[in-house]
Amino acid sequence: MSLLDVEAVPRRTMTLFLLADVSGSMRGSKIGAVNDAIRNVLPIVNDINDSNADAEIKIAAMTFSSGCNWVYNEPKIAADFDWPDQTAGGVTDLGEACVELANKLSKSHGFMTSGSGSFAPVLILLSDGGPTDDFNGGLDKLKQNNWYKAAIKVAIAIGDDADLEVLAKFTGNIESVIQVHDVESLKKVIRCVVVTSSQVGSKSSSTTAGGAEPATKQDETNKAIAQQLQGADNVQIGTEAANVSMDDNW
Amino acid sequence: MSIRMSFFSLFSSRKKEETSEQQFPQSEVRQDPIPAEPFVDIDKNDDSHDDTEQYHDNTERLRTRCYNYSCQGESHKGTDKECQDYSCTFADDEHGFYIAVVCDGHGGDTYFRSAFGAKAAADITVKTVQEFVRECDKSTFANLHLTQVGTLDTIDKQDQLDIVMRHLFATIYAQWRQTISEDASRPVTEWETNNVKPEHLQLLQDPERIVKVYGCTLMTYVQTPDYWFAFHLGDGKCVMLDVDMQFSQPIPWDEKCFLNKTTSLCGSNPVNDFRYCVESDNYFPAAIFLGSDGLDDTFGDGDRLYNFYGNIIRSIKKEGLEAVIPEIQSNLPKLSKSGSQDDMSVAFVYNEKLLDTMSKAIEDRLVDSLGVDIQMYIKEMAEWQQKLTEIEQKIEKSQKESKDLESRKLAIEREYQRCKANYEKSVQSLRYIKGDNVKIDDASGD
Repeated sequence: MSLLDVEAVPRRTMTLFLLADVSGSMRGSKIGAVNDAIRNVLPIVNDINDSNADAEIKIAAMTFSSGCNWVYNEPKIAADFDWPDQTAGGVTDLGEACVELANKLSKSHGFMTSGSGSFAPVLILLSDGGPTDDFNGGLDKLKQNNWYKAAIKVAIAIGDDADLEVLAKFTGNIESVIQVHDVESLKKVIRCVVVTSSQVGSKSSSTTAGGAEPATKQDETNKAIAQQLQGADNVQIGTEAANVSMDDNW
Repeated sequence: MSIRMSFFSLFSSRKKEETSEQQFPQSEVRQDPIPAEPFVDIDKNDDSHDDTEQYHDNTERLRTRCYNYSCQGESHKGTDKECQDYSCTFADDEHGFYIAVVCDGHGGDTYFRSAFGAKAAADITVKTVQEFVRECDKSTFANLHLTQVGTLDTIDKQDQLDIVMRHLFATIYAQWRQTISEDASRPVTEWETNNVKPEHLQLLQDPERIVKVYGCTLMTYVQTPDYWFAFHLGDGKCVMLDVDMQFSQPIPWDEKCFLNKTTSLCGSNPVNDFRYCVESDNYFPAAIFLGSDGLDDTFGDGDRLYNFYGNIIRSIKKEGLEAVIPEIQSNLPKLSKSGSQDDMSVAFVYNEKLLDTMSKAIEDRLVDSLGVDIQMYIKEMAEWQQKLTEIEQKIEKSQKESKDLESRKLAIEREYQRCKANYEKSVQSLRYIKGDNVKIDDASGD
């Protein structure tokens, strides 16, 4: 007899949310690079998932322009996730995307399972412009969400026209915003951010009491990304992005 | 200086208020007084081992039994970090009085003495609860249906029951603070010197921040002949199995305990963060399980966790507690390894009499659960079978196409050889007419 006879021990779930801007300004090489990079990084995420005893990594992807859409109506493991080629068009309803994200960051009516069986999610936002709707209202709703508060958040600013202040509001700090200026850098950064945040987000960490936060996964992610992108051409991280401008090459 | 407070005056005043309004069913109230003398000593864990366990038998008359076990988490074995969980149970069979406690020390870098904090919290709780029950007027808890109370910030108006309960929590907390303050002067150990950062060791010198070194959660179940109550600060799960064979979590959850963050005795206002439930009304749980977060991080907090506990009860019913104890001891470390990797603790109290009436219901629940699993697997198998069929069809189609291409290749090769032979024949004829030096564009490909 074993007490475990009727119980398989499941891995905890870490859901990686990709929020991709597909507004009109993304037309051309930008949307092409996003399509290419996401499709290419999926097998790597799958490998991380397969070799991870702690967590099962699932992906949920939303595109937003005039409104927002989930690619699938549930998170999927990378092996089952086919990224459909996106076409760009429309405005940038980032506020609506925030509200929809808040809706899905829920156990009862969203994509999340119980807190006990989960790791904090990873939220990766890609955008090349500024919001055209009520972003602050949407973000305010999102900020009340416990999953959002605990999440690892990274934003990729595509080109000089990206509103860094808005992206920093989304991530909570400018250090988690990475600006890119050409197609190759965009592909490289998407790969780096997705892989690194998946690795950090899906490993166990010790319990902390109340607000005590010795070394957060967010810090660890930021540090690892900065290390990997150190010296990379056409890439600026954090305050560097906010203070130094580079020429775009799209 | 003793900071232990007396509960007597509080309970006396409550009795005066309520006896005029309520009629207590005397026949249901156990008349045996809880003695003023100290109860049976708590079995002390053997400090030479990381794993801790106790169990208590009792007389046939009450047939309530309890057991607890804690083990080191798989992730702590590499650094030889001692188990930060602590659990204990207390049984006074003569008076039908039982206590189970699980404390989970946080174990992070700053909480390097949380194993001590957890043990201190558990020991103090057992002693304080004994005093609480001894001094408490039974009418305080009389005729209460299941009353579930969240953290203080979730209560509109604090009633007398809440005042009494938070007084208990405040007493436990005050004694815990005193105990850890005394421990802070203990010399730093060799392990601490080698494994704890100097800035964290400095916390021991700061009276305001000492608590961060000892932080832990606290979960307790208390059963007397007349009432039971349970209280909880932090994460982990208290699961109740009732006589209708339903599992539930009687203590309200605190949304501040989320992912790897938890409320704690080292929090800024821990007394307010306690939640609890109380019930008398001649109703007792069939079983209560207290599990540290290592368990619910492994099973989740829903049916899988309940099924694990259901399996324990089923095994106890079938083979007896003594046979199940080695299973718990061997399986908890395995669960840690395959699951959360965290320290694991479970403490439970069960009423054999109630379980006797429930064995069929337990089987039914497991059968139902397995039925759901089987249906899920049938559905999954069908999906995989469909995918397999699609792949096989693709392979078959691909093989047919490959065969067709092979045939076409052979036909083309035949045509090529025929064409090449005609070419060579034509070249030979031309040379015969024009001589060997005639220039020919060689398009044969050779």
